[in-house]
Amino acid sequence: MAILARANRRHFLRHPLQLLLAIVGVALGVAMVVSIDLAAESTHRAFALSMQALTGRYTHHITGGPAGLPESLFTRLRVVEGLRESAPAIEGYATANGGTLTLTLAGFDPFSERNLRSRFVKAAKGDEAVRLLTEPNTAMLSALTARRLGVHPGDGMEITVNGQPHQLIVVAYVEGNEAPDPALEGLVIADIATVQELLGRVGVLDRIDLILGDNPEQERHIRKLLPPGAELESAAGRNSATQNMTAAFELNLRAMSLLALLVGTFLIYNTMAFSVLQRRELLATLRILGATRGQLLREILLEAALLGLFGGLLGLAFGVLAAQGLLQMVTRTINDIYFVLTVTEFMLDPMILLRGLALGVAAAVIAALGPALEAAWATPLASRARSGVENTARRGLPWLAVGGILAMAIATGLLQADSPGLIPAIAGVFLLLLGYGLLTPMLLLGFAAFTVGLARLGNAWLVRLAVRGVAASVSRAGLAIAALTIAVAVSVGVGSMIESFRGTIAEWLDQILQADIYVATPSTAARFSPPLPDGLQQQLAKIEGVDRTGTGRRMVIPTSLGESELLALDPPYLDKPGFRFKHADGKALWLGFPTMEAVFVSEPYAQRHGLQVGDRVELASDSGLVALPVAGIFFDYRSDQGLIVMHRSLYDRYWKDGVNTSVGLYLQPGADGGAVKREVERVLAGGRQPLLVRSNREIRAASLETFERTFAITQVLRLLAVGVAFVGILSALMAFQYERRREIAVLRATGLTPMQAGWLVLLQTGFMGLTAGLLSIPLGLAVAVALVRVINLRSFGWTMDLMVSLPPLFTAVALAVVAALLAGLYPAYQVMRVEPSASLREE
Amino acid sequence: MNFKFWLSGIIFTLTLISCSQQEQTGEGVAAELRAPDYAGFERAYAPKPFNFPADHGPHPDFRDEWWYVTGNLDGPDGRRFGFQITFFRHGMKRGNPDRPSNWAGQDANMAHFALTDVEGQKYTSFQRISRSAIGLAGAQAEPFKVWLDDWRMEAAAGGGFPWHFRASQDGIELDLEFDPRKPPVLNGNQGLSQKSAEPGNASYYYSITRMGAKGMLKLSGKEIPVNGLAWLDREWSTSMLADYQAGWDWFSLQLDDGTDLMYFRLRHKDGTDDPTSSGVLIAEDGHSTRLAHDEVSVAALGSWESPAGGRYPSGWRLTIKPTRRIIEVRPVLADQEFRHDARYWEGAVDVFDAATGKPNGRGYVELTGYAPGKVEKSGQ
Repeated sequence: MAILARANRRHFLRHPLQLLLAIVGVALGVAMVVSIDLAAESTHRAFALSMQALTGRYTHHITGGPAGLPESLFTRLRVVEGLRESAPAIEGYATANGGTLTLTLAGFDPFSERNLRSRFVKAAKGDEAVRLLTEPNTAMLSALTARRLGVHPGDGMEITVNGQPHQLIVVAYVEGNEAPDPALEGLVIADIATVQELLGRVGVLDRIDLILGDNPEQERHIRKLLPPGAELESAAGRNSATQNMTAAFELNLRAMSLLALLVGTFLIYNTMAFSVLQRRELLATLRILGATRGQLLREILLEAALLGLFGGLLGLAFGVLAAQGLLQMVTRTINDIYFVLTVTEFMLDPMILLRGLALGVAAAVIAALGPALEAAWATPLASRARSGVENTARRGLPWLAVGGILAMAIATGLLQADSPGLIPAIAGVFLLLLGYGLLTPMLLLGFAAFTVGLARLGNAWLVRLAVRGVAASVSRAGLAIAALTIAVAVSVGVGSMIESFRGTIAEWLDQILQADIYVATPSTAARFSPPLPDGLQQQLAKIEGVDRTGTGRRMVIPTSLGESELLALDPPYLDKPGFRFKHADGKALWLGFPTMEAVFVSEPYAQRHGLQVGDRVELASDSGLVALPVAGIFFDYRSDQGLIVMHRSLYDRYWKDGVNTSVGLYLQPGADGGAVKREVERVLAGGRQPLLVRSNREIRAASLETFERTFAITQVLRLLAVGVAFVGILSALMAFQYERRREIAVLRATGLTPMQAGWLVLLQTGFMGLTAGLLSIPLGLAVAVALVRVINLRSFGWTMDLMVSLPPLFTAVALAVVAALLAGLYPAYQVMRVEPSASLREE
Repeated sequence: MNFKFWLSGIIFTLTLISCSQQEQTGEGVAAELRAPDYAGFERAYAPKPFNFPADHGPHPDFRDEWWYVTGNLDGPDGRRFGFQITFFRHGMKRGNPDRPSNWAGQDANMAHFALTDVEGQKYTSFQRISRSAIGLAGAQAEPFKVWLDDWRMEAAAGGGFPWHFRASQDGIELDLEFDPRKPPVLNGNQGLSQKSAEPGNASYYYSITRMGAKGMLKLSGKEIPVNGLAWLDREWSTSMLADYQAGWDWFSLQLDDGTDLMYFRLRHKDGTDDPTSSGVLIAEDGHSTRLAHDEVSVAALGSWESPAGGRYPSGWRLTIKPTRRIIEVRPVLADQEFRHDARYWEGAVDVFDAATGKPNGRGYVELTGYAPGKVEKSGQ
């Protein structure tokens, strides 16, 4: 046994690059899986903690409409109804640090909190508590955020709320004397009076939290007391509704991690297989010297486990580093499209690390099992010949192909099924990739025969020699090409999806941005739009060059389908529809818009709630519940939660707030947009509230920038997949070329120059790259179709126009060829350098 | 007579930090808030004229104030109950807050409600806290009303007596009407009750020592008609005890012959009595006689150990020298300790003639400064 171990150790010492490659291969595979898992998990936990920090142990809550709840309702519940276990809440957002840091402003009543979630009450000690209760602008700040901002208890800090600057006095940490808590990051807690004043919402509460027993009678009674627009819900419902918002996003992230797992396992398999393969002669010799099969097998598997362990540990380190970068991107995406997530603490879940390590070790052992069995069971002499293995492999190819076709057929079925489920769709994409991979060796043989024919015509003997060589060892080459094909195809598919999406969004922006200049309040989160000052529309309409004005009122209201975003529009022109409608004549619908006793809903909204044209939606308005039919479904990409649109005149009949959140200015033909915008800014400069004035071009650019940011993580993952595949192809090609050393030595001995030998190697790898590149195009397009038409539609409810342009396809082929050529450089250099006699002597 | 406990209670409430080491009275914690001045609140230096019903209402120029009713009730079949109701007001800052939000009130409020079921040998207590904002809690003079959440005590429809009290929690509901049988008594020097040597360490203090109490008690789902006698204590101040004082023993006794006795003994930390200890004897016709500290002697007959720590005296022999009367006072139940943010013993007692051993009255006793400030909640 000792001799065995020593022999193997010597082997690795003599081939340090091999050792490095094997370890890096495992490390990369593990790193990829671990980093995505960690980022996804951290986001998930951050979300849960953010929710928990602000909710606590209440069982129910009452929420108001956009105008909030009158605080007198709370008095009524307490003093008349005797609901002692109740607490008021008001929440909003502020920015600090020059707008770079978003803070959650949570207003609470320490006296009421006593009954519900005392942890916040803990923080302030006697005189601090008194300051919080009696002095304006006093607050407690999360210790971690305070540290980040360099703020200490007693200090003042500048914050901006709804565009207005305020000086906040930090009297204590939210954690009190306890250890800083990542769950509280970004949290500012102040007395309810202070937060009402900061937000400019005196007299109003957002929520009343309650602890109620399991008593339907009591719930019914409370519901009767609620003003129009207010709702009583169970706390579990609220949390899970918010959690559901990101479910699709998280699932996509997990699918990416699964893909990483697939590519990572392939990589590990390749490196391990190569390291065993390279030692076949050595192992055969050991067998001849008396080592038993069991000993050999044990030795190789142990070695694989050790390699897996080292590589895995290294991979964990890489993974943790990469995950922190990913987390930033994921959080950014969630903030852009879902809600403000103030917790950004990175969380290291030991389970994920353990799983990653186990994956590394298991993949390494399983990958080594095949070659180890092959090496241990082959008769020592037969080990020298590759042809035996190759013959067996070739006989299996038709079966592989049949399996592949079958898998692809199932995949097509899954993807075309009517079920709205996302998981079957993702399974379909994976099956598609797998099936195509199984088919690849057959396709390779076909393509090789074709190329050989072509080379014969051109009398390119070196090409013929190279391609035949590849075809002859289809078991190795096929796997490498399949892996590269899948990686490149995923890259093509994801790239096409992003391109399609971007194109669709750009068109959509052109359609909805009909006004020339928009005025709105700066809002911190997409779901939170503060109102504009009164009379602004009239004031702006008088500006020279402005033809007409339109308004928008955006807010979140309770509906029979849960909290929904409502947009009330008053467009001044009706000749050009503001939306593109699904299966409907947009022009006719739009002409009827001002008098319509109905709403439009966006496609994601309809998809999410299974709505059809003609269905009714119940909205909680200021005048009670209103049931309105859906008159049309329009394409919309602003949120995957979807939104409801109604005309302003209909809105004003049921809602009494009379405020706007945006004003659009339509300019006279030939008016100077720049001059009007400057004039608008001059008019607004006198106001107390800073407002955003943007031309439609600026909004378009900003929206597309948000889009890019949203997909940044997808792009990164796509590159990662290609990167891992590249390392995989490198080791596969090295294995491939290693096996051909003797053949090339014979060729060298019979007159092939070193230069020609080098070319031969490069031709072979180049051919493999080209094959992978070409094969990846149909698969990539299929993946793109699946992503655009199925996965994204089911995840987010967005219909997109499939847009495919040629350059990315060429890039894909070029990428595959370049990756293969790069991977061939080292083997080429080796065959040029090595004396043929040396290679032959090793036999 | 419960100011420190109330004050420390509200601070505990705000901090929820155990301050057991902070002196038994909680004065250490109180000092945190008080130092270095009295936050601009007025102090009680000299007697002032009392006006009713105005003085039934709040006195926001003083930091602390309470409405305190205790009493003994009889139900049918000889069932007997004791009750305690207290509404506290604590000014966090003097004056009008002058802020846009209606929540920016300056008063913190607390209420205590306890019931002693003598037959069931069970004492139950509740505590509530809130703030004087948006009508959640508060007090007003005309018509008289003091409330916290749905616990309230208020004047009758015309603005006078009987006062109506109602509170309920966790299946216990008490609904009573209080009708005075005697006029208010101004305690101390015309209502100025000195609590320690320093001028200003005093309160304005009046009592209605005998009120008829009649109404309904709901207990374990049963409605029990109850009838008995209650005692109202009203006190407002900004500062009372000095550092060297530990607490007090307070007796409010209603004797069968129509006489009422109030006596408080202020204890020093060294165990001696403070010379400002005093009392009052109210005859059946409402005529009152002051009792100086050397005119009453109090001797403890036994003691009781709180399960939460601390040893209280239990049972007393009181000698009232001017009338040469000797009485024995015994708790109807040993454990009548209020264990919430503040801790004190406040319980129903029986009074016996020391010579004959025959019962001749009932009352309430309050004992403070015997146990560490804060313990975990028990009644809730």
